[in-house]
Amino acid sequence: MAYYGTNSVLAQAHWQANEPSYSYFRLRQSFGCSSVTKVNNGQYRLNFSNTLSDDAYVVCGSMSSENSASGSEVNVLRGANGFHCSQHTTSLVEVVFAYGTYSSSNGYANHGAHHGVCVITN
Amino acid sequence: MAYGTSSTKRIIWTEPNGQVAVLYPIEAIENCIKDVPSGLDYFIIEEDDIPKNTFFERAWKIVDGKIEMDITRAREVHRENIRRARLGKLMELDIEFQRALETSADTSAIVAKKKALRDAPSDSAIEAAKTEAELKAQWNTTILGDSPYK
Repeated sequence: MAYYGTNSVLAQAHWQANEPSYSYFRLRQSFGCSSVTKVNNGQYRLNFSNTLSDDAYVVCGSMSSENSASGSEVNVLRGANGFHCSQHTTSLVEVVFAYGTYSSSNGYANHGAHHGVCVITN
Repeated sequence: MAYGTSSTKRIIWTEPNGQVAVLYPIEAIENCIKDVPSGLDYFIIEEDDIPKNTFFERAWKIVDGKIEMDITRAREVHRENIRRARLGKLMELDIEFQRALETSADTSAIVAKKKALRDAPSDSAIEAAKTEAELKAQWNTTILGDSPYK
């Protein structure tokens, strides 16, 4: 496998947001973060352990689709899930996960079974 | 690699937009104070003090260091849920209506359904609801489908 640059992972976190007994936030593992803040439904803030020298990093994120728990692709008829950064600084990155919606589906919550964020630099 | 949160403590505060934020510590709780936006009052609480039910989390407020639900804001969240739920149903009824027009069929039932969906957010029972349970009960599954509060 060819690599470009150092591909250093500055921080990453993975959590579940589908368990009511955990108030819909269960952190499973992380690296380089002092904490994670739930700012709103589907909106999270990863606070870095150390202030970075600059904010020229890449943020990747993923969320499992709502119907994936069934193990079936049938009825997965929503629009594309969304992921974007709403804040991007040397001390934190704020991300938003959102379900797409389909005419007869509700799209109420962003309670995916798996949410992951990875901050990478060159 | 850290696994899970570092303690059962949580830090809460009110964001400038009025939303209650909940911080889950990975490092020791005292190291996480830096993660609270500067200038905002914060409170350290136990995880069990965070409501398990997040249906109305956009209506949360902090009172004396504890999370409570603002019923006025919760009503608006409920109305937004209704508006979201009815979107697809109105689209489907629009198609039914057009088809009925094309065949000169009776449209009165379709019109009545559309009116019920339009009127749903302004149901006086929503304004009358004083508790979360009462608010959740104001979901007409006949016209809106499955309740989001399951």
